[in-house]
Amino acid sequence: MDWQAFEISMMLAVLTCVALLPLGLTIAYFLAKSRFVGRGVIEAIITLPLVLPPTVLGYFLLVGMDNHSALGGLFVTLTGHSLAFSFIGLWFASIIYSLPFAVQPMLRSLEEIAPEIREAAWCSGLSKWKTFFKIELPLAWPGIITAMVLSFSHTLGEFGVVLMIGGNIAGETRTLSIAIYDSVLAFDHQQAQTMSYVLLAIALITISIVYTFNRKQSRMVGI
Amino acid sequence: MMWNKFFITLLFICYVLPIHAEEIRVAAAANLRYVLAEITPYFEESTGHQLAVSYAASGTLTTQILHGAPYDVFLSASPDYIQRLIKSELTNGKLVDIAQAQLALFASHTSLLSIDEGLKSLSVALKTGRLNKVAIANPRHAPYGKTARYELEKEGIWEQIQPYLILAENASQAVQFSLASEVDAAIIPYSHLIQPQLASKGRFVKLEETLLQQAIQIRGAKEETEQFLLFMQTDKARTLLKQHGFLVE
Repeated sequence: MDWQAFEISMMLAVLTCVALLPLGLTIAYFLAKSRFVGRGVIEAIITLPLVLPPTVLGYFLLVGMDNHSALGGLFVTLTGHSLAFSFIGLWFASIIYSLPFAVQPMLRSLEEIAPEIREAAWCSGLSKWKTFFKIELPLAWPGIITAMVLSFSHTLGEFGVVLMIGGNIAGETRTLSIAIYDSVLAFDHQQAQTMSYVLLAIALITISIVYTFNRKQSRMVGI
Repeated sequence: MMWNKFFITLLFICYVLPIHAEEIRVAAAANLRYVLAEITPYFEESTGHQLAVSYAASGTLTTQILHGAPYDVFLSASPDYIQRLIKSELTNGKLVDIAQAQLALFASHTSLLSIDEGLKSLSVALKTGRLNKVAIANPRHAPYGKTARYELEKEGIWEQIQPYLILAENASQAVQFSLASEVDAAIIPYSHLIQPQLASKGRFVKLEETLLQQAIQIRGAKEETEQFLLFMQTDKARTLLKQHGFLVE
């Protein structure tokens, strides 16, 4: 068991969730509220990482994070490190890669809230912010939990993108899924097996959480 | 309150992470996997520095370095890739010869093909239509694949063998493929073949061509990298390389 890779994977998944919670909520809230012509296009762009082959996304990210590109160059001037093949670069990529998994469930649960509830809250003198935190957020809670769990497990299972922009560097970009691939190439099937079981267990647990939670929630509201 | 804690943790992690990896980062050709694993503890013991090794095809590693991958030293299985990095001014320009690597034709025990005559056996099997699959590393970015291609061209069967080839990502994966039951033969690193877990699984014939393994320091490398390159030229490292089937002058 490569504990260093486990640590990297866990840290990446947790930090991706930390970033996606505010980011995903902002985007989902904005999309749930607005009805404008380009809405479909914006939703499509956010969903794109879901359907694109990881190699395509990986290629664009690799080119975009290159030291000679605008973003990569800016990062080098700011920090002195290059963005591609670094943990931060991987984090950035994971946020994009898992964005649809965060936004979609949040958006669905925000859309399900009847507008009357919101209006009632406003009539009772609650501000927009207070309505959001006291009324909408608690109602959208199952969607947010689902979003976080899915983002977490999806980031943990990321392989193609990490292979292209991570480069298998121990202690920096060698995640658990890359370590499994590396172990198989090294004929270390014992280690590959252990790590595969760990990922299998985590995936099973997280997905079970989603299903159990969603079922409880629907029973509570009597659906 | 909670958010503050989140951000402090986040900043802390971002700040600590680059320091967390204090060791020398080595980008190594896939065929060095076993020998470097043995050299590493000796180096770490004698110098107190840590090594973090990433294995891939030399071409893959070159692409990564060209895009800014933070390696300190590159051990390539082909001088061509090192030359490309030197031209792009991404190295300190000082080449170090490590060893000559050998390659071999391997057939696992599940294969019915006789390989006693080396590549000639492949050409005979081609003519009689008894050939299944042959595994080599991808010649486009793996030096072992390139040399395998050269050997097949010398034998005059490169064109004819195309439909039978399966291309591996790097030399290590070619070894992996060689054990599949559909694969009759594979051209793989001799250094991998003599590993006990593989040597017991088939038979092999050494091929003529060798690959020059060179090393070079990447621009902006840590100071300790110099010590690693010196260590690779010590008697200890040379003995280990020899034991793994490399030719050392």
